[in-house]
Amino acid sequence: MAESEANLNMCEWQRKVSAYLDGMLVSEETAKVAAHLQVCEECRKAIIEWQQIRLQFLTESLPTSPTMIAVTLERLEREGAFKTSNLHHRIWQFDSWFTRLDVAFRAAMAAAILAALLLANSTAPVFQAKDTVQAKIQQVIRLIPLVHSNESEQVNRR
Amino acid sequence: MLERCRKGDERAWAEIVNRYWGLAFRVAYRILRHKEEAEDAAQDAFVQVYLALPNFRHQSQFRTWFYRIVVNCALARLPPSPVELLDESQQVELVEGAHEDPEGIVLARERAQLLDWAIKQLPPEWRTVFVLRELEGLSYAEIAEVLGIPIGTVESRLFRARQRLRQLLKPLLGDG
Repeated sequence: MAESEANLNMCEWQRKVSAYLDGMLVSEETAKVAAHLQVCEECRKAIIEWQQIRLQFLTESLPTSPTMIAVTLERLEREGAFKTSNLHHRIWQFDSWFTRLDVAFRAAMAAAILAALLLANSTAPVFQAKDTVQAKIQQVIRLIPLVHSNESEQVNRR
Repeated sequence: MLERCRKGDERAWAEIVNRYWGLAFRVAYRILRHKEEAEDAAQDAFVQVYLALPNFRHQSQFRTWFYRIVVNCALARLPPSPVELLDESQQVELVEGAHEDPEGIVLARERAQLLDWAIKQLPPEWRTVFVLRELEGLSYAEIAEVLGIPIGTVESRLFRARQRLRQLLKPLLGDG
């Protein structure tokens, strides 16, 4: 048994090391591979390089697909997946339409909407009403001395 | 939630798609290494879920079942000749580009190209096992269930993929 293990070529050892790395060996084999790793630089190197490769793939940036959730839901709808409808449907449609636009264009649209809201606010009926009330108050204030003077004239006549 | 999807509840579908879109796209992209193809494969996967949902009996976890569907949809979109062969000059360019980086750091673009090229050299069955184990973190048993193959085959394909990538990606690997 020991002799056959000693005769394992490098490839066979590395195959075991690969399974060892994933915790797939039974405890007896794990101990044997651990002992082998103490003395075999080539197998230690293999482990390090496999881990480096894994890291290379894990750290690469993947492309993003921000609009595809909405597109997928639209496709599911076309396929007949939805039997009940709700408000989300309209939100998805808007989301789908809106997110297809260029980012700069979306930002410009948002700025334009904000500006329009601010402008509308300054001329809104609430503000107009406020102005009207203020004007009426000032008119009343202006009338007060006149009322006083009329009263004093009546008194004098009496 | 799956019950609600079966009944055609739009909101439940939205939850499923929102929750699993990232997984579907990521796995498909890592197998196909092509953005638009991966998007289409991920979309196909959700349609397959819709079509197969009446037959899903919870014998496996939804996640495992979903992985199987995504992998199948991605593999169905692989070109007939899956291994993308670069001519000799292109290979030399990639490898030398990586070696000659003045700081010893391969530029991100070159690195991405090299990873693309290397993974496309793997046969689809090795590539799939590599993606599921090394990048998705599935156990051997889960991969065996997803792909419908014995655990021993998972182990052997993974080892071969690791060894092949080790040869192909030498320029990216340090001296250890």
